[in-house]
Amino acid sequence: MASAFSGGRVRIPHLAAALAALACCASLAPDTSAQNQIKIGVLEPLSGPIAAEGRRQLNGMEIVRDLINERGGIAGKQLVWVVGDVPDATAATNEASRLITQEGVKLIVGTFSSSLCLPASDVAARNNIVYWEVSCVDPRFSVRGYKNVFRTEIDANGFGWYELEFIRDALPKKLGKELKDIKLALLSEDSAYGQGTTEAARKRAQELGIPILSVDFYNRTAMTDFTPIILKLKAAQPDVIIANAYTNDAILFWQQARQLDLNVKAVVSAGAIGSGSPDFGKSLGSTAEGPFSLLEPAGLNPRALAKQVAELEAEIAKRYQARYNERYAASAQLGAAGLWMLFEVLKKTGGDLSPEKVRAAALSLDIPVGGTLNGWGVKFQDNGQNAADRVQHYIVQWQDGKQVTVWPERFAVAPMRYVPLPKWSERK
Amino acid sequence: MAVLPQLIASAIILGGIYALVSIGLTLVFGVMRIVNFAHGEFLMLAMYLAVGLFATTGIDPYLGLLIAVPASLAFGSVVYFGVIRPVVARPHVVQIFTTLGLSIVLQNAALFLWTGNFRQLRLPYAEKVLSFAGAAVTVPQIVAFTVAAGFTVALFVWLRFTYLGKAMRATAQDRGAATLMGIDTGKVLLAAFLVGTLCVTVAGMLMAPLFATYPTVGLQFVLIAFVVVVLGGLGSAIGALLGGMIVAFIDVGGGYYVGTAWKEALYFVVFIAVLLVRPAGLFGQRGAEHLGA
Repeated sequence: MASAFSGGRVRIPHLAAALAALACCASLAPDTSAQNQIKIGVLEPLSGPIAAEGRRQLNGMEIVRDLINERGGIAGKQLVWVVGDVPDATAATNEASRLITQEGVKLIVGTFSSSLCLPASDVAARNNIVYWEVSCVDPRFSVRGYKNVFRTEIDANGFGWYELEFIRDALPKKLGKELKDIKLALLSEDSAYGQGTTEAARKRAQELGIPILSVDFYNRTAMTDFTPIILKLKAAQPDVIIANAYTNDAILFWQQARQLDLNVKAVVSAGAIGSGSPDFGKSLGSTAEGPFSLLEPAGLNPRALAKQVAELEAEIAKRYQARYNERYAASAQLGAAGLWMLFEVLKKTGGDLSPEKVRAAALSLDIPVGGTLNGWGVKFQDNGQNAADRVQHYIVQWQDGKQVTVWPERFAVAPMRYVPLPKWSERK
Repeated sequence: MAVLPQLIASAIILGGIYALVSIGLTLVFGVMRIVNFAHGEFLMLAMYLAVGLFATTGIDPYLGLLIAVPASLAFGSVVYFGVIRPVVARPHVVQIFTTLGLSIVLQNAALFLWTGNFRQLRLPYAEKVLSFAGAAVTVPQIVAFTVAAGFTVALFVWLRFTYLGKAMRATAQDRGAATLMGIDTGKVLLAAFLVGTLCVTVAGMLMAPLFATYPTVGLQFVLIAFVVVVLGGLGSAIGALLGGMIVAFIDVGGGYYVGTAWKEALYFVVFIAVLLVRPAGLFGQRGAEHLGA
């Protein structure tokens, strides 16, 4: 048979003719699929050190995308996306450029990490397209004067504020102490997330008159031993430690805290990493029980939610567990809630992704706390940041091998345990 | 718990861990003159082997060494003949890009096979904290340090007194001259690579109970390992142990007395200072510092 590939060797003229014919057919065929689709770009770290959480975030968004499409899509069009893997800041810049210039996307959703959202959104802003951030917490994100950059999650200032709010509201009574008598130590990894959160916590603690005994920062990628920090903490004897860590360092810190018998009354961290990550509980078993993690809800009291939100939450959690064989948690919830908010905005624009339309629709959204996924509300400020008092955050704790929401009380599904934390010698 | 004994104990244990990771690298880097950027990924694979064996069969990592050692020799041979040997005589840039490429492939293979999740190998008896001269230590830490010290002595004796060891040192000093003296440098290079791979495999198996395992865990240790190897002297087992101890003492002591944010700056200052005075490292033999040898 005289094919272009006959004889095991490609004949160039034949191949060229075949390709030309294919190209011709492709251009003649009506492109119905593209007309019925809204294509966006998604950037997540799917390789590199935070790949686990990036993957979870994408998984959460996939569940919501499928739900949106099953329910008729956006203005009758199906939501589709092109995914870019962004393990580091350079990749974030390059992939954002590729999605815009080669894939032709007009809106980008991303990127999990505080080290990725700035470069990715810079590229989007330069190209005058909308950038929709669902989880990075770098405070610099929303103070750059960009008009088309939005963030659904609170920033690190909000994290720090909420950590202290929990300490102020919940701990004095449980510890039998006045707030001003609760001695605090701050410990943090040194990325934008850790430093931003910790500095905000420090500022808020000073405002509340809480004594701060120590502040320590470390590089999580080179942290192989917490002995120096733990020995200093043992000497200082704080009541509460705020430990803003990623996951590998959080596991190492807690293991060594046990080994070196560091006993404090409470440990609080922030974010979908560290003690908030499912890996923390899986890695440490019963040892993981005790620390408080500020993050998205691990179960919500349905009475605190609008009815359709409670049903939606339950449906997403069920599908997530079935598809990924893992509990719907933290990073996935950030992705899901952020994408659902974008859906609310695009419903208003009729699927139009132009920056002006998206901005007008986003700024007009006004949903009270409990009115959307995660029990959040929505009210974007002029700088594109969702208002901190609408992005309700929760304290979650590992109890009997599961994460449960324990604060604020009206959202909680279980009472908090281990306050004060039992001494290591008294734990099983 | 007294502070000083604990700081010293933690530094000695950490130094042992650094040495364990570095011993393999010092052979590959020192004898073969190949900057193996995939060294950290070899460590990562060994940690996954330990985690996997324990999770699926319940074999603890110490018993698992019986499986890991032959597996490491087989894996090392495949990598040597498939990737390393073709570039041994090539310029350093080619070698660097080859091992960097291998590192990226292995990292992503791990990500594909085992996802990016963090896994911790939890041995029931590792939870027990032992008190030793006023310091708290655990069984996996003691084992890691003891094996590091044992490997160092064994390697020192081997390099010093056996024919292959001597041939290895000669090759490290001047590959051309060694060939002219009748040494089969091809065999020496293979032996160096296999022993290097074996050492890092043992390191990974012993570190799995101590650190979380994830696809990029190697990066956490490989930079320190390069510092240790150059500080201690290329190709020197004693140098790797001493270099590991120096970096660990600065790490732990500097972290306590100066601040953890400064620890890397501190050990890099010492690193530069030592190289200014002794370019071949503390125990490096003359000639070994010239990469073009």
